[in-house]
Order: sequence, then C-alpha cells, then structure tokens
Amino acid sequence: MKKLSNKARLEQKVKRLSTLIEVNGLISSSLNLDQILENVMAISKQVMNADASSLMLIDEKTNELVYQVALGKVGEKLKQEFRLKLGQGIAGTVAQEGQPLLLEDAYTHPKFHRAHDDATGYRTKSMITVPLKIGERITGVAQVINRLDGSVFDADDLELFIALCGMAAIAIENAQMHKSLMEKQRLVKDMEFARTVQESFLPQTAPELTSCKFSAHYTPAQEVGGDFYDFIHLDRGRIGIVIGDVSGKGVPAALYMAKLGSDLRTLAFTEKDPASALRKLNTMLAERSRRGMFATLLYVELETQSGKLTISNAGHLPPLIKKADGSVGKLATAGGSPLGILPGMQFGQETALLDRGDTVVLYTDGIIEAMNDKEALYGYGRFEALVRKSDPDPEVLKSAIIEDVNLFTGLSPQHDDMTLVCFGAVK
Amino acid sequence: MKVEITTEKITAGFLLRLKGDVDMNSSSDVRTAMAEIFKQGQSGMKALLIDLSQVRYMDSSGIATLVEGMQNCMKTGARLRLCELSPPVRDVFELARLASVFEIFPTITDASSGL
Repeated sequence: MKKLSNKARLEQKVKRLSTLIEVNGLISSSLNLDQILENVMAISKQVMNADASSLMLIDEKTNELVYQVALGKVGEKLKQEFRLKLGQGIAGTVAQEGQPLLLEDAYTHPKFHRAHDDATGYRTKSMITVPLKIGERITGVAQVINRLDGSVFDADDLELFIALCGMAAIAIENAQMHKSLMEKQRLVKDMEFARTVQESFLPQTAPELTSCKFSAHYTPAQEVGGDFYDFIHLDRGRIGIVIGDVSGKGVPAALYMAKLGSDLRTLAFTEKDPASALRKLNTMLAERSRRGMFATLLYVELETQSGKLTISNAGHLPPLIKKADGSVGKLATAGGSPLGILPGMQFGQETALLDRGDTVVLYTDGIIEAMNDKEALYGYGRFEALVRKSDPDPEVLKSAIIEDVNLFTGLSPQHDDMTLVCFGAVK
Repeated sequence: MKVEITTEKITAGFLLRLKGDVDMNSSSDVRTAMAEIFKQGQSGMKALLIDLSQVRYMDSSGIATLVEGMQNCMKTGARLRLCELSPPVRDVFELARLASVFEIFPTITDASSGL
C-alpha cells in the first residue's frame, strides 16, 4: 500500500480535483466523442499513474463490449482484435452487474479472462473497472490497469475513477444524442428534398382548352406519399388524364410513382386505348415487382371536341360525374385489380359522354380518409353530398372540396396525400 | 395497436394468424414472419394460409406485404390463401378490386382443402 503524509495526501486531493475540473471542461468543449473519450482516458491514465487504460461501449446489436479507447503498449492490438460478451471476463461482468470492481491482483479473480494477456504478452496485475451508467442504464465500462510505480490501486483511486467515468458516461450520452439529432435533421432535409422532387413530377399547370376546363390539386401528407396525377396531350383532339396512388409511403413510393408515371406516358402514345395501356403497364410493373409494391390507377382518355370519355380503372376509386342536371353518379365502377401484382391481367374499359356542364371528379383515398382531431373520417358520404350541392365549374368545385376537407380536418396533420382532379365540358 | 403474429405448422404448410393493425408501421413484422416461414418451408410447402379474422385495419403497405407473400409463394410453387377476412379488410379488398388477385376463403377449413 502507498504510504502518504498528510501534506502529500492533501496535494494529491487537490491534484485530483483539478483533474476532475479539467475533464469536465474537456467534455463540455466538444461533441466529437472519439476525441473526448481519448482525452478522458489519457488523463485518467496519467492522473492515476496507470500503465494502461481502456474504455469499451456496449454494442446493442450484438450485446458485446467493443473497445473505443485502449491506451498502453498493447492498446492497438486489443482494439483491433478483441470483443467481450456481457458477463465474460472482468469487463463483461462489470458491464452486466453494474458494480465497480477494484482488484489488487486480477489473476485471483475467477472471472479474469487471460486470453488478452496471453495474446499480447501483457501481464495484468492491479486494475479498476467501472461501469459507465446513465441512470440505471449501463452503456459500457472503463478500466485502468497496473500502477506504474508497481503499487496497487486503492479506494481513493477507485473514487476518483468512478467520478471520471461518470463524466465520460455523460459525454457519451450527449455526443450520441447530438449525433442522432443530426441524423434526424438530415433525414428531414432528405425528405423535404424528396418531396420537391416528387412534386416536380406532377404537372405544373392544368391544360387550357376552349372546349374543356381542367383543375387539379395535390396536398402532400406529412411524409412523402405516392399519389400522382398527370395530363397527357395525346394529339390535338385527345387528352389523357391520370390519377393514381402507390402503396406505402416515403421515398420508395415516390420512386415507384416516378417510374410508373413515365412508363404510362410512353404507353399512352404507343397503345391503342386505355385498357391496353394499363395491361402493358401492369405486366411491366409486375415483372419487376419489389416488396409487393403496387398502384391503383385510373386512366381516362378524353376526346375534347365530342366529350367522349374512355376510362380504364385499375383498382382505383371510381370517379364521380356531376351531370348538368345536378345528379351525381359513379364511372368505371367495374374496374380491374391494381397494377403491379400479377402479370398478364386484363383490364376493361368503359365509355361515357361528357355533355356541356358535366364535371368529372377523380380523387384519391386521402380525401375521403382525411381525419380530424377526434379521429373521425371525412368520409365518402360527405364528399358525395358536397359534389352534389357545389357549383359544377371544375375550378370552383375543386376549391370547394379542398376547403371543406380543410375545414373538417382543421390543423390535424394528415397521413395520406390528397389528390383531386376535376374536369368538365364547357362547350 | 401493433400487430400480433402467430405461426402454426399445418398439414399443407403454414397458417399465419394476424391480429391488430397491419399498416406502415407493423407490416415489416409480418414480412419478417413470412420470410421465416419461407425459410422453414423451403420447397416442400404447399400453401401458406393467412387468417385475417382479427385484423382491425389494413392499409396499402399491409396489402403490399400480402402481395409480396403471394409473389414469393408463386416462385416456389406454393399457394397463398387468405381466410376469414374481417369486415374492414373485406372493404379494402372490395374497394381496390383485390378479390381477383388473391385466393380468398370464408374459413380456414375451406382454405385447407383441395391442396
């Protein structure tokens, strides 16, 4: 045991307190975890006059202790080659039980794991092992090994090391929280970017024709969603109108939507009618299906002079038609299955005539499933009733629907995109 | 509410019972359970039956998981059969015209026969 005079003891206490203050300063000065831990362990090693020091963190995925810092002659070898299971060796036992351990001779402890010494040629004698704790949660362990003066560690050393490890644990927690916050912020930025990219796939303006009027609206949900709509100018007298909803949300849905939209644009020109365009599109999507993703889609071809509509429906909500006499009906109710599930599926199509004053409303389920703060749904009944009583002008009708849905949902964040396309014959 | 998943070995293959909400958040659990079944079943599995009687809500991510299960079954020559669709699931299937893509049975006994 070390024998110290009162003066020397006092000097040692002052030195240790100064160390704690110094370490505290280090921890609050940076969020670079590797650097902080390296510094804390270097100071620990120095102030405790230790030959080696190390710090290990628990890898939650594997429940193993992994070296973050290993200072000493064999530190690099340890860092590269060794991991410990919880409960294995002194460090693993301290990490599991959460109690600090002061050993005068490690070799006398039944749990001491000699493999490290055997592999490195190092001889561990006296050591202190302390758990790193945040509340009751253990995040790792730190160790100092062998006093350079050949004496053994004592209770004062243990007390100081516990204090140092307390600070290290807080530094680790702060740095990890900071890292996860930064990752979240980056994710939010990525999502915002994905959303602008997704919105760039949608038409910037609705077609302007003398015979027909078009209006469209798209409200993205909190996350990037998979709704889309499109207007395709097929030739002078025909226009293709598309609305769809890709399964799921997020970037995968947005990417699927982008590909689907461009494939349909090509097929709209090469295929003879909407049903054959959907048949080809379905097979193309089903053949390269990933994770079961699919899309519901409605494709309408409008002859702008005659008002003839040819509609093919792949599992999408049937559009509403508000006739000039005020009556409201559904179109394309007998549709096929959604796109991208099974190759070789057939799709039917139906025709209808758009007379002057008639308006067609295409929509996605985000409209009827819009939810208010009491978790009530806007619902199909309310939607149809509104279409029935509103002015048939496509622009006015669209605005009326969006206004009514917004009034219903208030400030509640919506989990699904809301898409609406209205068009009507004005001549 | 999360989804509760139970897997049962049956003569024809496996029976997967789902209870709760099969949505964006829980469908990955269903996917994992199905992957485990495919691993265990290898090529000897004739059918995967999925009991949907206790499903309270299913969104398009949930349906996509079933689609993926069916596509995986087709690759190995097995059948994916859905049974006892709860009313909310039935509504979703009707709305999206999914009855023509899946094999749907009123009871597990019906789904187990003719394999």
